[in-house]
Amino acid sequence: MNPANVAELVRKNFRNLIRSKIGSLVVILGPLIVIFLAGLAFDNSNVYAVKVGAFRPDNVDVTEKMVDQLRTQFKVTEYTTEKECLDAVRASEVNTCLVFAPQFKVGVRPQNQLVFYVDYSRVNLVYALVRLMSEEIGEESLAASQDLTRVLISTLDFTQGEVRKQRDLVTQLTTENDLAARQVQDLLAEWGDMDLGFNEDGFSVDELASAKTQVKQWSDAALSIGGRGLSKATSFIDAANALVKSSGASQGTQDSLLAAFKKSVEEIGQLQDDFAKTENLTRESFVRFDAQIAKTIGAIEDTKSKLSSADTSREFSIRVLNSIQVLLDKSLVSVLSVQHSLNQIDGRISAIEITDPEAIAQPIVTSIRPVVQERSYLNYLFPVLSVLILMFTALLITPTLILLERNGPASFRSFMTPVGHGAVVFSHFLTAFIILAVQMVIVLGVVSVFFGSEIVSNVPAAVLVLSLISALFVLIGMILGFLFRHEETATLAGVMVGALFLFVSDVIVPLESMPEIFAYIAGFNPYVLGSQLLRKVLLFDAPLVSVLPDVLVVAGYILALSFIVTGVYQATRRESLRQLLDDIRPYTAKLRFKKK
Amino acid sequence: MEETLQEHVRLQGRQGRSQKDVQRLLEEAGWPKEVVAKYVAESFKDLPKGALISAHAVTKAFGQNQVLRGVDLEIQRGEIFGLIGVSGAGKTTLLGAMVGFIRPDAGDILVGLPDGSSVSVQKSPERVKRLVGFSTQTPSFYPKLTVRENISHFAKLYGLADADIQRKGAALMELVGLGAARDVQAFRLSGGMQKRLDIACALVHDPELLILDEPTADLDPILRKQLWELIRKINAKGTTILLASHFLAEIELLCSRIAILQQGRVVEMGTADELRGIYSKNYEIFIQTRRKDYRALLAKGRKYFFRVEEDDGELVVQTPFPERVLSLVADVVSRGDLVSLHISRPTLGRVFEAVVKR
Repeated sequence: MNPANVAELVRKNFRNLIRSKIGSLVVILGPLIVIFLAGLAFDNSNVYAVKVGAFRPDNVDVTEKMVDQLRTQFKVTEYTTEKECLDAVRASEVNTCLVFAPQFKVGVRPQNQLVFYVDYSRVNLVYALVRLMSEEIGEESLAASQDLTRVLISTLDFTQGEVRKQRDLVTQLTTENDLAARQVQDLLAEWGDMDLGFNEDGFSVDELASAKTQVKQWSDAALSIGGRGLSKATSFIDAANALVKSSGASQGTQDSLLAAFKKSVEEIGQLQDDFAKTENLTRESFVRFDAQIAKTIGAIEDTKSKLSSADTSREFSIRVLNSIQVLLDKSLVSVLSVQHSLNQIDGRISAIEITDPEAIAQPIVTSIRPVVQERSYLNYLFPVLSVLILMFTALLITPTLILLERNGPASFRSFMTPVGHGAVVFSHFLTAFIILAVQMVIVLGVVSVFFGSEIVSNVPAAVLVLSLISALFVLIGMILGFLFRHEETATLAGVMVGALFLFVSDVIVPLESMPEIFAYIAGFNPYVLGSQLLRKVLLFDAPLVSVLPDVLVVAGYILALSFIVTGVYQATRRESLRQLLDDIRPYTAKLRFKKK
Repeated sequence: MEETLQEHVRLQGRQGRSQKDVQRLLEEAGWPKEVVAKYVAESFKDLPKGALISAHAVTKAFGQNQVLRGVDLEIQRGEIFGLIGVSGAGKTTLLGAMVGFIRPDAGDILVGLPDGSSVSVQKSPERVKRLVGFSTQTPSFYPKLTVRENISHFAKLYGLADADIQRKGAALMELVGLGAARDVQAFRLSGGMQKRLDIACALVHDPELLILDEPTADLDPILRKQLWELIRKINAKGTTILLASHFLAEIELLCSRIAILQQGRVVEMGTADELRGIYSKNYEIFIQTRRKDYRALLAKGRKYFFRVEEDDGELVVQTPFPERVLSLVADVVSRGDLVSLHISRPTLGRVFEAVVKR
């Protein structure tokens, strides 16, 4: 293969292409138009012009509010019956129909039912609608939920306040209860220690009475002895007096004796008087003593009785106190339990970290964010779109180039030149490849300039991947170009192959939603391979090393397709099949001979 | 003077004339016999020997349709060789086989090399392509490219150096008369100019053999004549030409030898005179009168007529006695009744028709 020949053929192809106005327009404007339209269509994340039908059986404020809310985003048409609304969806007058439950009420089943009907035949719209409606209705639902949560939270706050207040009281009650229990215990101890037993030994009434009697006896005896002593003393004095008088003692002595006697008699008389008085007093005192003793005995008896009674009371009290103590203990346990419960309630309430009603109503805020921070869908769609452009351009332009050359007026002249088949085939490949490269440059330029997207950050990887994808589809296009004889059939085949790749891909239906075997097969779809590879490189800035397996798969495809292209070219060349058969005839003849 | 003579002799030799013929012609032209003998001998010494291209029992069938049935043909260097045949006779198939575009089922086509050896078209197609140029009935070039671009494109594919391409391109454009249209896109050229461009493209690599397939089809008489002149000029430069055409007049006019292809076989081959001789030695007299009543003439001249036909009011008489027939016409045709009277040897067309009918 002479490179100069290849270069000349490619140059010639481009001259032809550039001078063909329509061809140039297709090459330059085709991708521009596609990307411009795609850019306009996907340059934002909104779904425009969604028409919403609504049926409200009852004119409830909340439904009116919701419908008004929807009106801020969409064109809303209200219908008087549910059937009208559904018919409007079927007739594509509206994209979705919202049907409110009768007497719609937030948070009350089944009055809180809101059904929206969508036309699932419009696959590409339905998911957007479901998402949009879910978002819009979800906001309303969330608001209602937040209101309800707010009530719950305020109640909970109040409960916690009350619990905290009551918990203090309970604590005080616990303390008091404890104190009371201890006091009761002390009391019990006191009362337990209290001896209200009457020691009759200490208060021997009989002995007292006996002693009293004895004292009286002894007193009476003493008084009697004293009286008798005094009488005897008088008698003795009288006798002494008589004796004195009779003694003959001097008068003076007598007189002195007698005077002394007399004085003694007088003193004895006094003593007798005193004695008599004392006796009287004693008697009186004794009477009083006796009375007092009697009283004392009575008092003792009374005290005894009282002590007995008090002891009975004490015992009763102890029993009562014991009961009180048991009750207090139980009460304390209960109070402690209440306190524990209150603490737990308080703890639990305090442990509620999320007290924001909005956060409780929507504990997880499900905002879907791009893994790549970009502002429009164009960025997400760009890899798919790029591969789509590459695929269709390659599948349409490559066969066209080949067939234009093959069926063109210069085909015979080209045949007459001594240019090798390799150069011819490679020039087709190179021409189509360069066209795709130009288109990609245009597309990238337009996207970067007009839509302000930084699509490519990893330029070498992107160039490599785009080149591989382009080569892959160019080779497929070349097979079509060599297989078919007419541009029309080749174009049709290109469209069909492209459509096949497109349908057996995740563009229309996600691979994950396909049957497993189908998804597995679709995984080998060059379009899927290419778009996934490009997405990794463009969107996720995946380094080449991480996408190396995918790159190798695509490279394997390219290698295999190169062989197929060569084979198809050889097989479909005029006369070449016959030539091939002629060439191998000697070998087949040898084989036949050997068999014989 | 001597150089001119030598070049002239070489040209004659390249055009296929034999050494004896050239020597005789020069002697008749008044050149001294010794000088002529010397230069003719020297000039013919270096000329390539043998046929330039020869087909040997070439057969080809497309399915059940046997197109070529053992074609044997030899084209000598320097000649303009004519190939005629009805549609479907196998002309284009044979031409295609001669350049390897069609692979024969059997037989071989050999292209002679200057050293006297030859190569098979089937075995060495690339080498043959460098020796043969082919201009098809429908011009074969890129319509969107200019005249210059077309020529230089094909020249590059033949491996010519840039300087040679410039030089060769200019010379070719001059040769075919497209110098003024060098930067005009090919599709804007007239039919004749397109044909000339096609021939120029076929000549970019200085082929030894130029095959022209219906070169003047769809051209008006003036353009046709211009092209004939071009063919002569190309041949005069030493290029052997194989001309396949339906226009028997141009074959007759241009070709030194002619082959008639009929049902895949070469049924006749020779010079125009030889072919005419094969067909008839009679003259043809074309008579047309106003009254278109030739009964009297036919009655009187029956004994002189070899064959009589009446075609669209014109009487065509073949006769070995033209003078007598003309005398008879003068006697029979009344004054003022004669519209046209034309006498000629049978045209190649007549020969061809006869061969075809045979």
